[in-house]
Amino acid sequence: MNSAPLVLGSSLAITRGQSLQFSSRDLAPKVTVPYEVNAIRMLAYGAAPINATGEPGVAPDSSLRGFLKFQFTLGPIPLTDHFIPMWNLCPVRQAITEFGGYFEWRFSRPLVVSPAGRIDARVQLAENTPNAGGAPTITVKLAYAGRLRPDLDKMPAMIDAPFVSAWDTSLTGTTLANDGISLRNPLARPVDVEQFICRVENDETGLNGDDSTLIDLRDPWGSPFNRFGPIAIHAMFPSATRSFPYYGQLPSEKHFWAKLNTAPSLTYRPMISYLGSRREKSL
Amino acid sequence: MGDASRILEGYAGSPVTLVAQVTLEPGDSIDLPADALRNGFGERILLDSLSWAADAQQSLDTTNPPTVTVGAPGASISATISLNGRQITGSFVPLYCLGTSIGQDVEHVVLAIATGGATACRLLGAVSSGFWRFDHPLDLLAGDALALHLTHTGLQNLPIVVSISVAGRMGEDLPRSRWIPYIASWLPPAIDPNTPTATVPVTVTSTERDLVNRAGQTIRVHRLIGRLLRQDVTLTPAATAYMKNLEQVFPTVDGTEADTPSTRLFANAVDGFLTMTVRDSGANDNVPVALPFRMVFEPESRAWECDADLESSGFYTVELTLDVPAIKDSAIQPAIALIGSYEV
Repeated sequence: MNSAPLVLGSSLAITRGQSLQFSSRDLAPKVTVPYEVNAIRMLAYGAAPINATGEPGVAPDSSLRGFLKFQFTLGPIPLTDHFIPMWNLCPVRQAITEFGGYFEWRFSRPLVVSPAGRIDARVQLAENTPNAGGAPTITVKLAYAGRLRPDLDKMPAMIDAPFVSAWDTSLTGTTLANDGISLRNPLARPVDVEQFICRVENDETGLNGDDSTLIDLRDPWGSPFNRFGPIAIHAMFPSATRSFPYYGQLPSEKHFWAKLNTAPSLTYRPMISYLGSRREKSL
Repeated sequence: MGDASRILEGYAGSPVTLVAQVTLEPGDSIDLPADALRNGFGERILLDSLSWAADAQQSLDTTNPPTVTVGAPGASISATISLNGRQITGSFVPLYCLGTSIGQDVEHVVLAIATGGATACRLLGAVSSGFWRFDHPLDLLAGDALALHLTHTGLQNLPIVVSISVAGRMGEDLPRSRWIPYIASWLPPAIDPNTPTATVPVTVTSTERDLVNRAGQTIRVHRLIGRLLRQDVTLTPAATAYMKNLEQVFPTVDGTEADTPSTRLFANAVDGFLTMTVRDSGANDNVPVALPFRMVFEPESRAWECDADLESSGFYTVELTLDVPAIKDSAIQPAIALIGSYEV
């Protein structure tokens, strides 16, 4: 049997302060064969219609970037360290998608899922989301892109599973440095880290916050990424990508260190994540 | 020029490009001259890409110029391509379905001159272009010719200058390639976006004769392409007024330069509302739950990278549904294509 394209998806409506789970039935193929997932796509927009002429879906969806947070798990295998802000799952690619409310977490290696397995997803909309389309209802759509793999006679013994952990200052308040429960590896196996993403949000407007403040990122052993000291966020995470390539391994129970020189505030909410993957026994 | 390393590591051969150009009036359907894309060099060529450009010519003196529509030149011209009787296209394929979009921000340009005032300008036409990078090189023996047939579908009431070029490497020592690229497309009737409602949606469905494998053997499908032409949604470069429900093709200056997105509300494009399901001839539900167009085809590349097999005469069927009105459009013209290759 041959491989076949596959895109699974689901949709739900959410209001501020809610945390909801997507329909598990929608997020698994109808046939019981192995399949692989290469990317997770997320899209959000306000309820329709909201304007005088009745045009649908017109909403400040770009301001949902950091307010909408996702959690993914493959059975007992977590793909995210709790909830991760949507825009921390991918670098900036093109304006058309960055400002269009569309984000895609592309896996560096396909995630092979066993027959009847599925990636469960939960989404959370922050209580303080501004201008939520006039009406506080947001439609969130989710899709997994990949392909069916009936050509696999049996599941591989080990699979590549992506993983992301973030320091979300919208949750941690005004502290200047992260603690051991963010930017961490809570898993039993080491994580191969591929890149860091840093976004700065303005909670009042939902737009970008000040990215000229300084940041000091260090590896688990205290070595600074920038040996000359703290560096401006926009210098380390340029606006064209908001990404900092990093090729290294994060051992189990270790975490990266991040320190800011300006306390997070209502108009300045840095959100820093790392994207990586690790090997796991297949289910 | 394509990437020589994909042809033969350590050896590239001489770079070579074959170019053909033709002007089509609305309704024209012509064969390119047989020698237009012939290998007359006396040596083998390994082609690794096909480029196209469509330039819609609009007269400055036109008193009532036709509307220039986003993406129109690339959609207005359809092509069939064959090599020595082997079909590279399974049917007429809109030019902008040939390959992935390199970038929505740059593939389409509306030409205009300022005529005074902050937003006043006169349209001069539009240019769109694209690049089909073959997943496997295509062998073009000495004397062989690519046969092209081009049709101006009339979606845009302007003459269009079409340029087609193929590029690769030339040399007797190049390895042989037994791969033939293949593409088939589905161009349904345009959707009237003013009529659908949640209870009476507009639905169009492809048949087993559209996205079909006519190669006579199993093909490797590398990707599916999904494009939406939104007719009569004009885009004026100098305009500052933001049109709701309009896809933003050009990045905002403040967004790209200062990284401070405009404070205006960003509207979703139609591809956030037009939903689709896909099945294949192997009884697989490729998209079992209706998903927005942009969730299936990446908005940046307009492609769905899938890397799958499709048996001879196998097909995909696509169902598109619009259940909300999109009042800025007079019509929405979807186009879906599959791109693959097969070994002979």
